[in-house]
Amino acid sequence: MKRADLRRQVKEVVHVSWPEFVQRHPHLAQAIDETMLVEQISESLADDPAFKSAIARAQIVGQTAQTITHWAQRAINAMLALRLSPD
Amino acid sequence: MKTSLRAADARGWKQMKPFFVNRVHRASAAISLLLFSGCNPYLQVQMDLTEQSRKGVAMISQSLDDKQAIIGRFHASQRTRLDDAFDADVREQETLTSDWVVDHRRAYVVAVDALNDQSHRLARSHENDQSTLAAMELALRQLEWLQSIPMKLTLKGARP
Repeated sequence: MKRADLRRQVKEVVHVSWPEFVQRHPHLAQAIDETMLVEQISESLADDPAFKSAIARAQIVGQTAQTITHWAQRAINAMLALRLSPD
Repeated sequence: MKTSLRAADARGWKQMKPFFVNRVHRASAAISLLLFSGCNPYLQVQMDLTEQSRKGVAMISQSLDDKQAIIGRFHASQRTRLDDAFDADVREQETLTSDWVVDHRRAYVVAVDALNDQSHRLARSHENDQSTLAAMELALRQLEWLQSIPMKLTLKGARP
């Protein structure tokens, strides 16, 4: 899996999750650089062995995109303390 | 017989010697002229180009340092912005629940970590760029030294 693909999908998930974060922490949301956040989440996922093995399994059954979205949502929920469903 | 031959050789050499000495002098003068007037400008151009390259490397290095300083100031201002945003959200929150405070702190820490990560990444990249430039500077200095050897020889050969 290419880093650029991972980054693109993480960006999409961050974009979807952002309105809830803005609602709960409006000033902080303004001060946070979304691109930097995407970069950090992508890096942490790419270095996570559990994520890597999940992607390897997903590639076999052709579920790569969904798996990335699921893991990215989990990471964003944990980082930004959101309660969005990862699925 | 042998003695007379040797004497004839000696007489022959005596006659030939001025001719050879004259030839050697002419040849050395020609080489000196070639080195002084032919190779010297070429070497000088090489050394000038090397010096220009070294100046270019020094200018890039200075420019990178300036950019790094700007990035440092930008990160410091971003950090202040995050701190102010954290405070502003807390002040404007009508009902401060423990859950909200914990979530807010967590999001703030993530943002600070992301900022620090980016700052460290850029600092590492800056260090790498500077060490590449230092290696280039060293290589150019060595090239300059190598170029200075024939130049010294040329100047020595040109002296009367």
